[in-house]
Amino acid sequence: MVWTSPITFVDGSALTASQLNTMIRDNLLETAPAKSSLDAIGGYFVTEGYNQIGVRKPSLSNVYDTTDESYFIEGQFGDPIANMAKTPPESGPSVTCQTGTTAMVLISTGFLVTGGGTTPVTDPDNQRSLVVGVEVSGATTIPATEKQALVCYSLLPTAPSNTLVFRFTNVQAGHVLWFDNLNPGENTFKMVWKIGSKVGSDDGKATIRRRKMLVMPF
Amino acid sequence: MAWTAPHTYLADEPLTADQLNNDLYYNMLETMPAKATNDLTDNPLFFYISGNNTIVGRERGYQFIKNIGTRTSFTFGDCTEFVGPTVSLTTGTKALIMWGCQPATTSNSSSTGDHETQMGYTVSGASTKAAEEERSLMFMQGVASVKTHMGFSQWDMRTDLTPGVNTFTCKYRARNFDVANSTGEWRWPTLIVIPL
Repeated sequence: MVWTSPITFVDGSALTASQLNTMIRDNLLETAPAKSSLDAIGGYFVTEGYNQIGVRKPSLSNVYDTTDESYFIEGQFGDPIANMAKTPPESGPSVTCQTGTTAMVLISTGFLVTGGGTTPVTDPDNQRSLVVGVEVSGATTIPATEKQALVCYSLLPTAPSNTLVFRFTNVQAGHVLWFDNLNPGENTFKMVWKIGSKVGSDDGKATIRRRKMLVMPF
Repeated sequence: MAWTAPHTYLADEPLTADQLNNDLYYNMLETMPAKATNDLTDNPLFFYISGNNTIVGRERGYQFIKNIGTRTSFTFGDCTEFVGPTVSLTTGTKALIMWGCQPATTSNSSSTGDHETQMGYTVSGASTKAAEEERSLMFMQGVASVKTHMGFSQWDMRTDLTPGVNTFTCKYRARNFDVANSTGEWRWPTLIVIPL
């Protein structure tokens, strides 16, 4: 059923069961309390069309691994990979939920990117980067992009000498992404990684931990 | 009274006061406009599901401190210059906490001098939650003789709060692995709490 505009009652006009069912019963069933349930506590309401509201629920996913090192494909978003006989950490986190056209995605992670060791780095191009993005699959296919990502470049050359003993950057922080081009339906949001490294023997390596993702669909 | 499923009316059935009171009086009192009791136009209520056929309007909280804080301890606590930011509000079991600042790492003159700052939060009032590294904003650098300021933010989703008035307060700690009693610095901290 959908909500319908209530009639204007008129003196002398017979009140019918059909009017009461449409105006009172059916319209009440389209209000927020009628659509509220225990399994949606913390959920909220959005408009889904003319005179129509729907429930959206925030969805949270965590990957609290204690992995020391992870390897990634350089220059390409993807999951952690096996390298040097090391088992890659769990991929993700990922969240699958019902969305409309829009969703806000909050990501948080700890990540450690090493610099040039204890040897002074003189080439500003020798920077190590880690990019944490989100890809969408399901009703919508959107690849991860550096334009919406948490990014860390670990070498910060200093003028004028460009010589800086920069050993690592270790950050645990969050980032917010906004998707307003989703196909309504069941969409899956997944955290993916891209590394760029040109320094020393640690190519492709970074440390990730305490990963979490919250999707608030609208 | 709680919201109840509306009656299905039948032709030739007598219309009773109970029917009208349940459907038109009590059920209407459970809808959003009836619960829009906050006239503070600068902090409107958002409505969330709080149970079966039950919604609740909740305020959000925000505080920004235009100051630079320091702390010389690796135990979570207040800055010397201020306490907070702090937000007190009514929550259910869930809340989204978002905070940020410009933490600074300061290092010594050796080639190591790895420095770490953390900014977490505590919950007091209806709930008691200690600050945790796992939930904090952390910034650590291994770099000599350099002080780096960077703007960061962090968030946390709590699902374990005791419903009631809860107070969220940012807490800080810092250390240098090579220097005892190292001081951390946090510039312009902000805290936002959205109960769900």
